[in-house]
Amino acid sequence: MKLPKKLIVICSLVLSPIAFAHGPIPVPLIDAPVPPVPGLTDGDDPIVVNKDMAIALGKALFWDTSVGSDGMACGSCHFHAGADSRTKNQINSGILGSLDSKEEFSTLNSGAGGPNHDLTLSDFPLTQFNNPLDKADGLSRTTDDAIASSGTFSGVYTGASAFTGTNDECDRSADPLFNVHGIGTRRVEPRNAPTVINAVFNHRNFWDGRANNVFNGSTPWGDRDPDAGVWVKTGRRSVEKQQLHLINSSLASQVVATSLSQLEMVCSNRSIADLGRKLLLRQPLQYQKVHHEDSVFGPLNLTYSSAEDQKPGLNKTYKTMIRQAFASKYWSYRRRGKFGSPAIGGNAYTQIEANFPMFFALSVQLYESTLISDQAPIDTTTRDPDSYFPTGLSESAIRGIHVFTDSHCNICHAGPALTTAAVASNSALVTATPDAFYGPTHNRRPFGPAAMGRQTIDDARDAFIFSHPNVVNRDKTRASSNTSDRLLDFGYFNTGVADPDSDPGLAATDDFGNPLSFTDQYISYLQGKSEKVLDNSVNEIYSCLFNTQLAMNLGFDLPVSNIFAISSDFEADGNRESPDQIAIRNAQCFNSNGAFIPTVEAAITAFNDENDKKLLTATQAAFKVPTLRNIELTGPYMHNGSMATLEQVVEFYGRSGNFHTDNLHGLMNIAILGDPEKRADLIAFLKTLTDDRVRYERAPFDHPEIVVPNGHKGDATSVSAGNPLEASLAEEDFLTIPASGANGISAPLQPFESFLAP
Amino acid sequence: MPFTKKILMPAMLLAYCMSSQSAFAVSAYNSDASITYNITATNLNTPGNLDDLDAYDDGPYFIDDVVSATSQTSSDDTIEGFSDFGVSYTQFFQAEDSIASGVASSEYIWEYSILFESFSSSDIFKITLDFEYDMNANVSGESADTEAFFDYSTLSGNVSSGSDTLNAFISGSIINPSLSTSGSKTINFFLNAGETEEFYFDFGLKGTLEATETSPVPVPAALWLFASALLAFPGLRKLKVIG
Repeated sequence: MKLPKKLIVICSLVLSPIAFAHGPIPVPLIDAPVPPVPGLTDGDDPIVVNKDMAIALGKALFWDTSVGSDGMACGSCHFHAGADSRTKNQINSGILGSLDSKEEFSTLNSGAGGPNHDLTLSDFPLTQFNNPLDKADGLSRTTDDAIASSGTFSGVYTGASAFTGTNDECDRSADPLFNVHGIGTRRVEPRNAPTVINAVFNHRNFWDGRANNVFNGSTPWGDRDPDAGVWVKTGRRSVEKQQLHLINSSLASQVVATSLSQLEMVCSNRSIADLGRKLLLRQPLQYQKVHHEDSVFGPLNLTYSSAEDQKPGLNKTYKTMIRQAFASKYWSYRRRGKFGSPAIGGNAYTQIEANFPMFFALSVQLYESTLISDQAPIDTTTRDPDSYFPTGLSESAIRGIHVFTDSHCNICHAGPALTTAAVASNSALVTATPDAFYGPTHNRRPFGPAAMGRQTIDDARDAFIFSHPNVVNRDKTRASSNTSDRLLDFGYFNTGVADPDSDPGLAATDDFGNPLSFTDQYISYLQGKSEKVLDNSVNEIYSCLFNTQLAMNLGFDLPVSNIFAISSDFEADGNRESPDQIAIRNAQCFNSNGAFIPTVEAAITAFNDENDKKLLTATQAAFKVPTLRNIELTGPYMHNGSMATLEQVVEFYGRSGNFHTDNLHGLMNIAILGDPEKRADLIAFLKTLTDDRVRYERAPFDHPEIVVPNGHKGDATSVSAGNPLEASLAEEDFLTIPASGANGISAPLQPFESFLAP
Repeated sequence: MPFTKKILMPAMLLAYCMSSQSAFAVSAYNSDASITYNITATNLNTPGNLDDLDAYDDGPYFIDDVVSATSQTSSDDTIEGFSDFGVSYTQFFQAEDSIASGVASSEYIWEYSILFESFSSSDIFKITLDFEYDMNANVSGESADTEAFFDYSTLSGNVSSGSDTLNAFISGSIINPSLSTSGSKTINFFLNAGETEEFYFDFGLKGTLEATETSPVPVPAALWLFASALLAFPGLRKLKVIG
């Protein structure tokens, strides 16, 4: 009895399940489960009492260029299919990394680079090999620079009008890094702006996941921040600060981070309450035309516009919109004095100012939650009723889906949003739920294990998507030919895009010095350090759902280097919680061995032994798996914007990534993309992910007019001082994106590469 | 006196703004609130005997939370404090500010309460509170926002409570320069033996103004709307039952 078991175990250790994987097929987004936010708009005491008005408020705040200190709105970097298509002054020197060159700009392939460089097609990809499909022929060029988004000049905030003017009063000067010969240019983000469309499906947001799944009311850090919260009127003349705990609200967590970024939007010393003071009495979108058929503002009669005359502004103040959208206990306390005061001095804050972070964040979250692109060909195509495989696409696109799954792209780009970072949504979809269906009317599909397709087995399982939303997996990673098993955050992988020291990604820490990753918290959990488990989902990781098991009860002791398989070294998963949890976690297992984790002692011993491989992690330079929807329009690609075209992306996977380290995900070497026809088919499939409503900015993807800073007059070698904001800053060029209405625009949005000079 | 003031002060404000329109973009607000109330009490066990029922008022406490250094703000009130059942009392509150350049904010809050206390060991008192309130909020000029609010409730919260807010403003191209509202309410509650209750009336008048002095500005359309509204509003005012 023992011998066959040993054989099975040894085989399982040698042969990864990857080798047999097929995994989820690309599925529709129509009626896919949006992660619920209990208490936001439902329940006995909802925070938002008028959802339509809250969405309108969020849309206004998203696009209003008065939100930033010098003309930057959220929409300034998310105006083109939810992303940024600008090409000039879009380079960051790699400031998040640890390389010596982190504050040095590279000369790119075109012979120029740095601040105010206008990118060319020849600059891409930033990392180039002599043979794009084979690293063996040698690296010809690389950089730690990132192609991202031009943001703010920043400065030190000194005040702002409560009624007029886009810009804050700030003490501004030329930035020591972002300048051309000492003349200040706008700062640039260190990571590329991903699309906001479908971002609601992400369990966490930002490339490094630092926008916590839990919104605490005022900061990005969820339950990690004990001082966060919102002010609630509790009685006739009483008010108190209360903690907020809204799950599935990383979009809100993201808003409060971005709106304080001195790279993206604002001057230092300006709080979000100060932003409230600036905006509350104002007319939203005061200087931006609003289309008379705007899909949000129109039905609420909030515009002044007509078909003949598109006028700027809405007809209610921000204060009025907040009062109509949010429960009164968040804004109706009449006195000041309990909410602090601006750093620059002045009147103490009011409750509505103090809670402006929550109003801003939740309303933008609600608006962004409407930006779901579920009418692409991949959504509306006919499907085989059994396998759910698409049948109505072009032959090339169908072949492309096979390339996609054969190359195991689908293991990370899984589920309706095509990302495993959509943890809660994907898990809900594979959970059998009475009367729950999704997909187009002609091919509705029930929620359940086969929701993402069924070939030989339920396909979702191959991508480690289960009913239980595990936030950590243990998976194969690869350093050259040596594989290892490592714990990693589900949906956050190192794909070897850039030098791992150019940007730590998920391996970074929060403002309090705690690891961003769930993985590192799970390591603490295993060692019994519960005080270091800051995100509750880490307490709910089921070890039996890991791809490669962490601990195994074989019935005999097996001293191996990568698994806790000695009986004294492991305990039942759930043992630290309750007997019920042991049963629940065991019930998730597909093997008969049961669910185990190391004992506290064994975990500590393994963790402190540098030669021990059982608790290895893969968080360094791991980044969120992005959605592939509308990918045709959302270049440049990757966290560092280093690829301009889909062809470059496919070639990158064809050569198994750029940088091989021991954190590299194990699937990065098996793409089957050497054949040009396969690559063309794969791209044909990727283009079926574009929703024409996005391409033509039709509802809900229409927007007000926005004027976006678009580099500076001159080039990377010469700019002109004399910016109206401050004479030492460079004069600017601007891009005007006209207002669109529910029926969209006539000329379709173009891919990023079309904006690049050769 | 209060009524005269309500009419005259906005009119004076209008006249001032019109006379100065060719020089600066004066921004101004003028808001007021008033309440007339009458309290009656009945002993349900021993009709006519109110010896064991004590009632007295507290306040109004005046809070000028914000008065910016550059403002020309002022406030006024006329208080008739509670002293007996069955008598009507009126309280009137008013605030204003104007500014020819720069920024100004001012904020006035009056917190008023009436306390009821039963010393009886057995009697139940029925207390009836009738009130009417009236608020006006007016702004003019370049950029201005004013709020007038009225909140009422009991301490225990088990009797009805409510609030009303007027928000007049000129902000960007949104113009809502002159508003008025009024309402009335009858509230009944019972005071059992040994119980106490407290009734709150809070009023607030707030204004935030900005004006630029660098260039003469034409009379904004807002002013004419403001003027027409001023002429019309005594007739338009209607009684609204709230709560």
